[in-house]
Amino acid sequence: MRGSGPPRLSLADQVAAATGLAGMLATGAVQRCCERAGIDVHRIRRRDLKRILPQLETVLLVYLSGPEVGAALARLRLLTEPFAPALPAPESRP
Amino acid sequence: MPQSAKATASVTHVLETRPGQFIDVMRQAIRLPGAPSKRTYSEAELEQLNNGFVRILLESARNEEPRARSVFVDHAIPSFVLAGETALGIVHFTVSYLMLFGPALAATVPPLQRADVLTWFSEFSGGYVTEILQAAVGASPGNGA
Repeated sequence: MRGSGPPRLSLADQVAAATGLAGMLATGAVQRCCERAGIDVHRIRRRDLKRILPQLETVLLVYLSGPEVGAALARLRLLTEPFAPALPAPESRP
Repeated sequence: MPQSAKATASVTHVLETRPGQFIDVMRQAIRLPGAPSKRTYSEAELEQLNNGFVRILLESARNEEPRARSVFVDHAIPSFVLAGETALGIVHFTVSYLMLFGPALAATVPPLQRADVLTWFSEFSGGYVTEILQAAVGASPGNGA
């Protein structure tokens, strides 16, 4: 049955949320890292994520503390798993 | 140690030990009347942007390779444009922010070092604004402001 659960985020939005970056910084970082890797952000697949992780880490190190970067990378690596559960859309994001 | 080296050592110490104290400068710059941007920024965005700028400044004070600066110019500026900011708005904010940041930074070092800190910060700001301007224009649709 469809439509009974909470709305699901696209994979790109899940990646943005997993970065721990706020609002436009998260969206922009994911888009730019995808562009740099030759990936269409709207068509990103789980197997593409590994290719953008090193560059995402470099970006996270500018804005976040060491422990925050570690936690974000753990969340992002989880998303690379083929059967990782999709994150529900949060009610509001900063 | 030359006076200028003492000044950048003091700046490094302040930025390493009290990075969060400069977030008020960002809040102040965002709220200045006359700013072209109508977008509102969340506290989390301001906090992370402050972290980024402090890291950029630390690299410069330590005379390190500008890695954070490259990432910021390459990622954050297109993010602002993606969020609807114009190149003019980005440059307007950057200049306002730097004009407020310099005195705030100088106020944290001993009085005898303040002139040297402001000279160093002025030199930093010239190069920084130039890079931001180039990135903002380059990231804007049609390369327009």
